[in-house]
Amino acid sequence: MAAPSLSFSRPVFAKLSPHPYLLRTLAPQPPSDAAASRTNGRAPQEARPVHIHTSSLSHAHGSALVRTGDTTVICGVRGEVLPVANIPQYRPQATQQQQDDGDERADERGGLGRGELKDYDLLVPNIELATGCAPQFLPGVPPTTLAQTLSTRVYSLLHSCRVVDPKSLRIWYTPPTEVGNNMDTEEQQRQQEEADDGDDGPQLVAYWVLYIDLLFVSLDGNPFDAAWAAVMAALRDTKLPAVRWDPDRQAAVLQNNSQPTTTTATAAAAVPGQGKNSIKTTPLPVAGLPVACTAAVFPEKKHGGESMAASAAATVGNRHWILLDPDRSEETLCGETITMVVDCSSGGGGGETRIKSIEKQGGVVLGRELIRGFAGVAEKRWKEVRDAMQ
Amino acid sequence: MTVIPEATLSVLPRADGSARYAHAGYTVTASVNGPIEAQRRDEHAFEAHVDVVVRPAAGTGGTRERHLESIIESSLTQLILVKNFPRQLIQIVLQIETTPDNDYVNTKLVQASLNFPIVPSLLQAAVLALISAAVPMRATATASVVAVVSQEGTKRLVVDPSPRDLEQAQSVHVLAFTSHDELLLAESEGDFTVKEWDGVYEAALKICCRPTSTKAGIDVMLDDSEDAAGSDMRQFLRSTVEAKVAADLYWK
Amino acid sequence: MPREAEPSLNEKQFIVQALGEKLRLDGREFDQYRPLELTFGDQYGVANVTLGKTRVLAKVSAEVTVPYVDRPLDGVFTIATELGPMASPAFEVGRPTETEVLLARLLEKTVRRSGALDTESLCLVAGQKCWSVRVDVHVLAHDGNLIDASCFAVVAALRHFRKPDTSIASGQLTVYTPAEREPVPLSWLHSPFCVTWSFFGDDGETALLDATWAEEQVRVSSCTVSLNRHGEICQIAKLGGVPVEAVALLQCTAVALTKAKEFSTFLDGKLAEDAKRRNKGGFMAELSSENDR
Repeated sequence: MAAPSLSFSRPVFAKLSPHPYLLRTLAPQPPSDAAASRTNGRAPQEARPVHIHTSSLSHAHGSALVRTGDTTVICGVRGEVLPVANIPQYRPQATQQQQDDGDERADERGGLGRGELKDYDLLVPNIELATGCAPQFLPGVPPTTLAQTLSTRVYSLLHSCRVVDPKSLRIWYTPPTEVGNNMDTEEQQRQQEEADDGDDGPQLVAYWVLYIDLLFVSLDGNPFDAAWAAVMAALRDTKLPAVRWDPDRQAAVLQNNSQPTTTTATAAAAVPGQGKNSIKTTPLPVAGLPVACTAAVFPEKKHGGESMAASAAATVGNRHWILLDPDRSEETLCGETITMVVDCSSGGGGGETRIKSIEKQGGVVLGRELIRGFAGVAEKRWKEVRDAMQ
Repeated sequence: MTVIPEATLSVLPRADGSARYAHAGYTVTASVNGPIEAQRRDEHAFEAHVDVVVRPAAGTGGTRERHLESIIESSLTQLILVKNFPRQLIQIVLQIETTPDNDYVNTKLVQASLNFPIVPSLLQAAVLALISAAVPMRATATASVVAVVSQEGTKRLVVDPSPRDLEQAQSVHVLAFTSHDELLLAESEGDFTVKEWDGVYEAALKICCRPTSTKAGIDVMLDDSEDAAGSDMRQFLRSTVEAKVAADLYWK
Repeated sequence: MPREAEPSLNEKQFIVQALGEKLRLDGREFDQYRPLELTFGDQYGVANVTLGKTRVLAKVSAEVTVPYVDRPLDGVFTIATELGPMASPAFEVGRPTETEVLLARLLEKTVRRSGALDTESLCLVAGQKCWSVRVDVHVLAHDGNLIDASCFAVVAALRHFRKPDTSIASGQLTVYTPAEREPVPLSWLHSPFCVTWSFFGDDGETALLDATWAEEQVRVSSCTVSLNRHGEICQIAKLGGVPVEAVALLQCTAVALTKAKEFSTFLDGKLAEDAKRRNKGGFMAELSSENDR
């Protein structure tokens, strides 16, 4: 504070040179007695509180709105019926045999169940960063790299965590074996022979495809954590209507709807909001509760500064701070990020924390020890998010 | 299928630098052009813009190629001395030529999930091409894939897993280290604990950062004793470049 | 993106003058190709072609899809060409240049429209399921005559390719994985090749085969003839440029035929060599149930 004409207000200083500004708040100079904190007032390892609202969309089968600070994302899950006849590359054997007891074994091998979800694209996440959710998103441009990267990450994680069991997405049809009059029996038999070589066990006729749409209403950093929390909350909220396969129309109809005219293969799923009371629904089983936890590394010296001259002065510029749940202004200053997805729900809380994913890139600060230590931070975050979900 | 990595430098006549890298069934050709003039929208006032393009062997690139690009780009930005070339562009194109086949699965063209095990090949090809283009770098990098496969109750680590291994793997890990033994990139997916990750880290560190000794005799001994642990990536990188330099300077 | 540097006036004159003295910069004859090399990968349907410094990689892939509504009995066959910044920094991702459009068009006319691949054989269930065969052409290095090299790579890759075997039992289609059943080749009808002539001089009196990039920059006109070894012409494209005498063009097609025959023999040889390499010790022949008759 030399000359009054040269002093700036805090927001101006933050805008002009954000890096020194954040550095100064994180490492206050000796005379100042302010505690080390970030420019947004949080401690380095303090995340923003999470608020989760579920079932806020009336026309989706499951939905959730997640807010962490100024990052707001809304997620809608919508199921549509996909008859197997419409899957070009559909192969019956792979799924038919493992219907009963063999199922467990097949799942343990890790092969088939996952293949089904992936081969037929039964989970379709899509992320949209709405125009104006942050200043850099302009109208009328193709999906940004960020949106594409996020949807790949959500897609990969959905499959690698096996959140959704493919078994719960299958729709079966058991041909009636005992029918009143002769005409029908003959017809049934003919149909059966046509359909499945006279095999009268239950047949897999269709799948539920879950369209998981995410929309960022506003984005203030850390999009992945919010997106993933929204996906999990929405999936846990999802209730699929009970459907019955109608072999005559080759379509699924709602089970207790007396007027089947409204419900063709896709329409059955398309009107979840209509007459909600009369339609029987079953909640979608969701395995585990993986929670994503992201942090960014804020270096004292901006990267590359050390390249030419500053290697001698390395002693000064080596400090760094791990900022949990970074906001947008912090993200622009940090190169290195880590996202760890943990699930502490298995084993009744007493069990070992299962890590589902680690993504660390863009820097060399986070070594083995820091990543190990970060698992503890992620566990803490897991508890916060779990509490918010309940 | 190549078990030991193979690499050739400067394979393309018109690019500033290029390399072809083949390892564990993956073949990647990389080209580097730079520093060249950047477009206005990519221009950065203080440092070079590193542009990575990943092109799949079949089909047009989709969301997962964008993700791969962002992973490689953030890693290479750490290695290249970007501050030396403000307002310039360093363009890296990674063309995937082959990926290992899984005979038990029919190929599916459009896949959205991340193709983890290709990351080391992409990174290695990019680093070699950058060396060949003589782009100044802080350090080089070596990378490796390790899968944890559970078999009859026991867990074992598989280095450079085949597609079949990956299918049965509990978790898959990609780790990259700089030549200063710093962890540059860590990507893992599946189901694992901190302890398992530690084991994976050890294994990857052994492959990527085995200390290179200058004495030939000791070198050979090291190779013999630790052969089981997989290939020595750093030594490989070094010998590839050494061979190329020797071939280029044969007239001296 | 930076524009490709054009050859200077001196360079241009040098090339033209040398051609006037019946000399090419690399010492080739006027109707001589640069050394052509073809390698196949471990996988089926990958062809790596080098023509001098030009390098092209073609990869074939197949998938089961739904046929187009207006062609329920045909499979889907596409050739995708994209010139990326790898070939030259002047090429940008997702913004096709004229070279790229022309290349795609010529490959389309030569291979697809000439019926080289029997698309009806790709149909599995009429109107419901069919194979979609896709060829991706990747240009790794561009040193002239992309068209001939790419066409050769596409034909080689398609002939080398094997698609998964299928069967239909009681209306249910099964696509077998390579582990279950050996994949089968495509139903291939004839192999067309492109031969491109470049014309130089004021009236286009000098004709060159297989022009390099530098030569392409100074040519006044060009003509691509696509034909198979039986001399059946699939297409001739002379897209603008200086008019060329009809008689000269006739001579060009005659030479093109000999070149197409050479290509055809070369490709047959390479395919046989590769088949032999895959079939070590004749083991597969022993397992085969086919009779020699």
